[in-house]
This record gives sequence, structure tokens and C-alpha cells, in this order.
Amino acid sequence: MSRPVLEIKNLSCSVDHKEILHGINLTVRGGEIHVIMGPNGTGKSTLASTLMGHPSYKVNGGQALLNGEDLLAMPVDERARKGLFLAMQYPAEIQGVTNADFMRTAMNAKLPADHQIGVFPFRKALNQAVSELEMDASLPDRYLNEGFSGGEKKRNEILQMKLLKPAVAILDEIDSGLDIDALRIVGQNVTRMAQDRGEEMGLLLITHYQRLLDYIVPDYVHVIMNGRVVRTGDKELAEKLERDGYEWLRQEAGLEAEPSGSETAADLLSGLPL
Amino acid sequence: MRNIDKIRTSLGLDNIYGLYFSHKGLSSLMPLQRQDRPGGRAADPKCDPLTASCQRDGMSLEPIASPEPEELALFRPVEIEQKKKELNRPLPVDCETQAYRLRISPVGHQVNLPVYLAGERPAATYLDITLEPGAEAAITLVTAKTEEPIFLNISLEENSRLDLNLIKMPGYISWQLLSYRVAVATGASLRQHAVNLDSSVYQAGQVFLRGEGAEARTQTAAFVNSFESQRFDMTIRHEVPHTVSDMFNHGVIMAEGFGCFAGRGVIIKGAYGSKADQDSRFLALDPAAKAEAYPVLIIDEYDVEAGHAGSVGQMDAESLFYLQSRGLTLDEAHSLITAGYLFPILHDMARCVPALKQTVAYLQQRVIEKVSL
Repeated sequence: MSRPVLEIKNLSCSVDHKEILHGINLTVRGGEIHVIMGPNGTGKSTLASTLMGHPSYKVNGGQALLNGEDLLAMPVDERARKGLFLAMQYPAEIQGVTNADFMRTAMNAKLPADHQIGVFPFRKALNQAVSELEMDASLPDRYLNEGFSGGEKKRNEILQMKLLKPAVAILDEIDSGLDIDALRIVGQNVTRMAQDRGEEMGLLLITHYQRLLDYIVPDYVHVIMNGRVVRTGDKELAEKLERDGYEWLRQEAGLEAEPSGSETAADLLSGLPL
Repeated sequence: MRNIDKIRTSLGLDNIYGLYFSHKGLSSLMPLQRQDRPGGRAADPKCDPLTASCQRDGMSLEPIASPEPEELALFRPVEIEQKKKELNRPLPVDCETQAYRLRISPVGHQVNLPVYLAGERPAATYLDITLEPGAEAAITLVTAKTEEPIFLNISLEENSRLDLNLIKMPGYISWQLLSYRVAVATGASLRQHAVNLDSSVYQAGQVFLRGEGAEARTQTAAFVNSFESQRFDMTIRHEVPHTVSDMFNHGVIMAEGFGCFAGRGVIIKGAYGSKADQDSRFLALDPAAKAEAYPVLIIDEYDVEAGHAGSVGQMDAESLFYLQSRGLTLDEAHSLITAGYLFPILHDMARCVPALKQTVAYLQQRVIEKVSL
């Protein structure tokens, strides 16, 4: 597999006729780990949902290219089959569909009709991933996310990422709702996968807290404020933000405090029932 | 191959007892194992072919006098909603009836008893079923091409337990009219699963919880195709303290189809400590589909727990996005969500009656075929 590259060029988008992103520029290559941080309501989750093609978000301008192909022109499922993966902040619960049936269907969706994965290789891969994530052995036969705790849902997103082997994975606040042990398990699994796959996979993490970065060491840390990337640095930038907050950066960038309410609601829209 | 053989083979019900009905009426109470009937049905030495009376392993079956019209009138459900739609085929009460009494005694093992009602029967069928104290039974009523009404009058005596499965065989298009009344005594329990994946149907149930600790849990899975009408009326009446009921109904409706779940939980004065829940939902796949859900509670006692929910809606956009984000096409996501809407009821039926696993697998496959169109 060649080294993937996700290029985001001057991307702007809106939700409910309100522009949230005002020109995002970012490039994620295989083998790189990027982290996006920023105050509530600045557009982090909006960026993730827009890249995946959530129907609530309208692209106003700019480009998003995956390996040179126009991502924004593709339907959601095609983006996924091209190798984009979004671990969601609020995964949907699907009654009556078992995790195992869903995962096998999703894996086969990326494979040609004459190379579909068989039951036994699939169960072997699934059981191994369940074990590595220290999940309940009954999870594959439970309905997709139904009745899962917040932590189980997040681990289930990582389970899917492990099995689907995406080219570029976006993890939207994968650390929220995780207890200390679960955070360690998720962090270690993501890091191991990044190491194993090397340049075959790029990672874009969205988080509020530096603690996740104790387990997943980033190459780049970007700060989004007011719908734009206002600063890019390395792990030390995340540590400074954890220590000092965002106010110094806001002043440095000459930004006004973002209004709470509408923008926060727009960010929270991703994952909520429409 | 005759209908009955096709049904039995499809559902995997070969090795359990069957009440076998043909166009001539009741045949016998007999094991339906293939080896018993190499060249046709073998004579059953425990059945009298003249009277159709049978006794086997703690079960007895005998013909009884047809019920009077006023008895059959009790099977008509109570009006739940004044504006409810008139049925094309209301439940008749003055029809010719073939009536039988089945008694099941506690014999130390569970009885699985599929009742086949296949072919065109000349008259309505009335079954009076009693589970004696402590008896446990699973009765699976499989109907195929049948137009005549079916009445079940069931008595669950102390500490007995009945799994009642009402399956309309997919692929046999006909109107189905089915009504049942169940009296549940102290410590006894009813678990009912109804599955109808095609054909118009009118199914009415009335359950009377008459002894402390009595329980009734009913689940219905309905797939309503275009131009079909499916209506399910269910009343559960709590008449004594500490009784429990739970109704759970899920339906999927295609274009121009009509579906209705009318649930009525009644807790009378004095039935304190009782618990009544109901949840009825329809998934409409097309704007032309019509559905009604009435989760009605009538409570005349303070110290009770009760909850009800009902909804008619279209597919959740967030669920579709989630499945598509994993590479499933929109059609594949639609199919998976639609099938998943009915599968919990089928899975629960297999969990309650393991002998029906092959039956459930067959029904699941039919659902998948329908949603893959």
C-alpha cells in the first residue's frame, strides 16, 4: 500500500446557515500523528464530520483530497471505502444488528466480491482485536453499541478501526468518557496500530486533554480557534495548553472570545439525532 | 410436496409433536418424525381415527362442542380508539367451528407442540388449551394458507408456563384472523411471540392476570408489505396485586401498507404492586405507508409502576450516516437497519424456545430477502 495523504485546503463549511470553519489548511500523511486541540465550539468536530460527509454540514469552499482524489465529491460510503475512518464522539446505537455481523459486512464492503472474508478468518481477527482491547468476550454478539457504556462505545470504535485498517483515521474525542485504565488500553492500542502500519496509515486525533498524548505521542499539534488553525507545534504545545489554557493564544492571535451557545451547539450536533 | 411438508421442512420442526390439521379437520396428535411416515402418514395407535381423541405423554386431545356465538363474542377486543380504522374483515362470531380441547399435564419435561393450520379448512378452529399446575409447554401455531378464523382459549393454572408462538408462514398470502384469550393463575407466566412477515392479519389478544405473581410478556414482529393491512390488538388486565406485563411490538411498513399496534394495559383498583410496560414502534419505509400506535394505560391503583411508548417514524439519519461511514452503501445501511428492527423479537423467540432456532433462522432469512429487494 502506498503512503496515503489527506490534504485539506482552505476548507470552510457551515451548519444551519452559520459558518463554522473559515478556511482550514492541514495535510496528514501516512506515518504521521496529528492532534487538533482547541476550546469548545471552535469547529474541531465540525471538521471531522465534514470530512466524513455528515449530511448536516455544508461545504462553502475549499478542498479535501485523499490521495489526490476529491473527497468532498464522494458519498459517505465511498469516502470510507477509499480509506477514511471516523471514530465518532457519539456512535449510533443500532438495535438488532450484532457487532459481529456489522463488522463483517463493513470489512467485506471494502473487498471485491470474489475476495470476501470468510467466517473463520473474520472471527479469528475479531476475537484477537477484542482481546487486545480487553473488551468483554460477549461484545461481538451484542447489538451494535446498544446498552454499551460510554467507555465500551469508544473501545468499539477502536475495534472497528483495527479491523478496517483505514488509510487515514480521525479519532474525535476518543478519550472522553474513558476511565484511567480504558484510556491506557485505547492509547496503547492506537499507538501499536500506528507503529505496526507505519506509513500505511495517518492519524488525526481531536482531543481536549494532554493526558491522551501520554500514550499517543503526536508529531504535530494544531490549535483551532474561531474556525481556523491558529498555531501548529509539537507535544510541548499541548503541554503548555494544558498548563496555561487558551487565553494567551487568543490574545496572541488577536482573537475575540468565541460566543458560547450557537457554535457549541453546532459542534455538538455531530452525533446527535437529527 | 404438500404444504405441510414444505412448512415442516422449512421450519425444522420435524422431531417434535404436532397437532396436525388438514382440509378434513384434525388428524392426530403425533410425532412428526420422518421415519414414522416413510410412505405416508403411519397409523397412530394412540389415536382413535373416528373421534380424533388422542393421549400422549401427558397430553390429551379431544373434540368438544362448538362454542356458542356469545362465547365467541368475548374474543372480540375492546374498542381502544374511537377513530380506529374499520377492518376489511372483522372477526366473525357466528361461524361454523371445529372445536377441540387440549390438556397438558406436568410430565417432567417441556412439551414443544407445533400446531399446523395449513390448507383451506372448512370452518373456524377453536382450541381450548389448559396447562395444568406446574406444566411447561411451548405451543407454536404455524398458519399458512388459511382464511378461516382461529380462536384460542387458554388457561394457565398455578405455576405453569407457556411459550406461545404465533407464526404466519411467509410466502402463503392470505388473510389471517386470530384471536386468543389467556387466563393466568398464581405464579403462572405467558410469553408470546408473534411473527407475520406478509399477508394481511387481524390478531387480537386478551390476557387476564388473575393470580399474584402472574406474568405476561408479549412481543410482535410485523413486516407490512404494500397494500397489506396488519392490525394487532392486545389487552392485558391486571386483576390482582403483584402482577407483571410487558408488551413490545416492532413493525416495518412498505409503501401503501397499513399497520396498527393497539395496546391496552389495565390495572384495576386493588392490583397494587403491579408493573405494566408497553413499547410499540413502526418504521415507515415510505411516505405513503400508514401506521398507528396506541400505547394506552388505564390505571385505577396508586402503588404501581407503568410505562408506555409508541412511535411511528422513518429511518434515523444518524444511524444511516454511522453505517455508511464504515463503507456500507445507503441501500445496505437501509437493509441492515430495517432487518435489525425486527430481529430482536426473533432472537428472543429462539432464546425462549431453543427448539425454534432453525425456525428463527428461516424467518430471519425471509426478512433479509425482503429488505434486500
